[in-house]
Amino acid sequence: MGRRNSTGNSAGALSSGTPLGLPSPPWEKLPVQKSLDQNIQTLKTIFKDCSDMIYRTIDIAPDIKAFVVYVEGIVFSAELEAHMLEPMVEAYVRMKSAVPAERIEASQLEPLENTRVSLSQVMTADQWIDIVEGILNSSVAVFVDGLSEVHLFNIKGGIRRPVQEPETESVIRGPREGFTEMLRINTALVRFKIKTPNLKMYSMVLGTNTKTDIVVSYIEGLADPKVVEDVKKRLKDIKIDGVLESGYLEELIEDHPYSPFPQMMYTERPDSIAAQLLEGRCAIFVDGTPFVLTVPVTFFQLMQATEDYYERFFITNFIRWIRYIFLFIALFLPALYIAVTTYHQDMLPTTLILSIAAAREAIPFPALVEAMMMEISFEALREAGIRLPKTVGQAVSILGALVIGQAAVQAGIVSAPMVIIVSMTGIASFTIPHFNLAITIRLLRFPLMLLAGVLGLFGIILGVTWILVHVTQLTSLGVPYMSGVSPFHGSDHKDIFVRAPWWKMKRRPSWLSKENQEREKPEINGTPNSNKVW
Amino acid sequence: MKRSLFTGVLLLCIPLALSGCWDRTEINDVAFVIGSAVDKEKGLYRSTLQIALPGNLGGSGSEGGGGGTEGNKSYYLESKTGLTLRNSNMEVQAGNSRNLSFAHRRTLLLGDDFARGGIASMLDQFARIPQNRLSSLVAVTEGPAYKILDASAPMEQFPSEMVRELMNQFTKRPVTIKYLANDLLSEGIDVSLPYISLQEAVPEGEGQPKKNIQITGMALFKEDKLVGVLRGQEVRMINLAMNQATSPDVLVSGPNGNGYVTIRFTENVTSLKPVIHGDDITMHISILAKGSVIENNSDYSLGGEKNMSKLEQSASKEIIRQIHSGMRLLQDKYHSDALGFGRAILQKDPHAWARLKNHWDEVYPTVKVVIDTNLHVENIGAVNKPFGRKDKELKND
Repeated sequence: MGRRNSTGNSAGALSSGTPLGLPSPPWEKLPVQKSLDQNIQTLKTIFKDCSDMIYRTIDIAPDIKAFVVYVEGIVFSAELEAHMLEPMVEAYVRMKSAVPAERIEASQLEPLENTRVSLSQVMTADQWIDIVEGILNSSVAVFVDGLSEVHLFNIKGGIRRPVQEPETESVIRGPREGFTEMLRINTALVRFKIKTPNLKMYSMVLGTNTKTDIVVSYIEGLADPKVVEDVKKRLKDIKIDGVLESGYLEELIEDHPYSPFPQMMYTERPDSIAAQLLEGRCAIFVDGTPFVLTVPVTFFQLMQATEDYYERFFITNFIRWIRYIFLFIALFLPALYIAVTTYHQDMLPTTLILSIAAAREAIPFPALVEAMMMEISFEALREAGIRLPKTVGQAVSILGALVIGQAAVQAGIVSAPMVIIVSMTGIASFTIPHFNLAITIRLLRFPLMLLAGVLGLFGIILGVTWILVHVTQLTSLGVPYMSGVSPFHGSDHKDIFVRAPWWKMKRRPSWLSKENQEREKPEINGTPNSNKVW
Repeated sequence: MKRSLFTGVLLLCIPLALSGCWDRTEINDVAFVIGSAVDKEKGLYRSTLQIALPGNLGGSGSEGGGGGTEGNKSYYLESKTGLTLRNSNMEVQAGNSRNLSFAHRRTLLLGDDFARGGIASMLDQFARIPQNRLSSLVAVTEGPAYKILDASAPMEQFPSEMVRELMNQFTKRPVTIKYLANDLLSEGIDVSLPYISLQEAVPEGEGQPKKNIQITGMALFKEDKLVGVLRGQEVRMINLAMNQATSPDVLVSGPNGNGYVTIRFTENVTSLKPVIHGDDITMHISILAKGSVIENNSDYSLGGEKNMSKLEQSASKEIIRQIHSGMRLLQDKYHSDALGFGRAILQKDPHAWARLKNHWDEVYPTVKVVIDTNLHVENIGAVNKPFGRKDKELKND
């Protein structure tokens, strides 16, 4: 492959020319010919039936023709006009009007990118495979008659979503910008925040058909080099025909594919990525999706929102505790309700058990069946709410609230306490800031309910034990999932169950940047007053 | 990992196929016993259970449910006799479609006839079966106990709940089965329980006779047998001497012999201190109390330190007088050591107690009681002079 400027180092290389599952094309090993007509012929065979190809023949010098090829829509057409076609035509006009129209050979021409085309990203290629790849990756290929070298000008463009407020992670206080589908905009959003050459953007291409650009980003010196190497190696080992979302990579490289717990975090907030890079994590950007993965993560990280670090620590601690309380509610409340009402009626206060008994008096189902029914219909409602077009979504919520909430109770099919329990768990699961953990908690609720219905509190204890044993042996890129708690590390507790004020959090998480832990000068000494000048 | 996940899912599927072995007790299949009464009847135990009827409690969605209910009461009573208490309870169970659950029993009422015959023998089943909570409150009733269970308790859902609330007001630490057993088994103290009877709610002869549940006295035990009931004003003061009074009021006659000043002692601490000289024992009961004037219908003006200390003195005299008269009943008439004099001696001087305990019954009536009071009336309310009297009517020293 030829030169490739400014699009990052090409160490990642194209994984393989052969799309998986397709026969290797006949032009794979062919070099470009000198004759333009022959090349045009080959090109038109390769892109047969591709109606989005634009071919344009243009004179660049007397008797020297050039041939411009690109895919419509994926190149920035205004730039193409202004910096390539127009200068080329102008140069030709100039040459023609120069007095003795001396005939020159193509090889004597000044290189295109030096004299005519004012575009920065240029590379040359002489193999068909590279040219085809370049064209499909938003390059404009320029063939010149008599030359076997082809210029590829990369002007990625076309219509893409602008930077917008991230919809899945809204905050009250904090930056409003979110990642987009364009890789380079995304990396730029992070680069805006972290201005050090140590912020590395290691790029590679994955997917034999999609040729998706992947960027592994980390801060050299902060990220554990072993983790970085591990990430790169795992990504390089992937052989797949397409990568359309970071979720593909998540499943392909995670440590424990059979665990219900998410071992990576995704976010569409650049500030969150910047913060995690500064703590020593790696970020994996995937072209075409606003969701950027970070590794390694711990359970507690998934219970934290970006806003935790922007609001004052009193508020944050209060909210964080609410989240932990509701995590338990989301996981255990239906199971506890089932266990208590079917096995341990003696555990509730008398008046409470009597009012539950009063409400359940005419209910035809066992508590377990009732709970399962309600929880599953709640999940269905939630799913319907997401999938349906926004205009229909309202109808679903009305039906859900009226039919399940009220009519079912009045008809005596479900009891009112059960509706309360289900709504509580629903709300509780939405307080978990990261959706992938929330869905895990919701999933685990069902086996716990079953255990509670079969074995009572004993069953819940069994389930909890299983979850705890599982979670403590889980790892994310080799880092224990419960880091800070198990294995225990004192200083990490400033940012697990509580969030210490910023002037107290002087060290980075111990499990991430092992070499370089200090992030705040100790001279400040944690007392903002000592800096006061008046 | 994969294997354990698979095993887990498989294990979870097993119970679905074994639904026949499901031993759950759905809440609709449980009859909650809210209160129970024990009486003696021809040598047999009569056990009366008050069972909640959730269908009549007015929960939403319960309309039409809860069949088999009579009237609109939120409970019904079922009464059976048996050779033992458990046996009679089982008889009740035999006539009930739902499983009796005793875990929510609020009160255990003992008829006075039954209590005279001794209560120790029935206590076994409470401890033996853990579902029988030891936290039920115990009281003795005037007449058969089941009558109290069926009395009207308009404020509460259940009469037994009303008894519980009354007992919570009556003493700082209401007597539960646990404390009852504790006092029964420990040396140097005799059990005392609230004594509950039905009182006319409105003056007699007016309208429908209506009876209300009320605590009217203190049932005194000797060993496990009821020996007598203390009634009247002394109850409150003996309660104070036992360090159990929540906020006793004392009616002090006006220093000029005209009307009464009522003082409520919201904070009070009482301690026993024995002084032992051989069999000659003096028991110092020291009472430390803070209170406020809640009514003054005398012609006595309360302002000024001098007036206040005079008031405190007369209140103290009144308290001492009432406790002495109560103690005379306890020591001479009933021989019941409800205050735990013996325990105080045991704690102060175990050797002396070892010597005394064999003839404690003879010594107990001879114990001299000295009462030291340290009263402090902190608050006289919003007015210092009697509100409805003219200044010239007031008498002051």
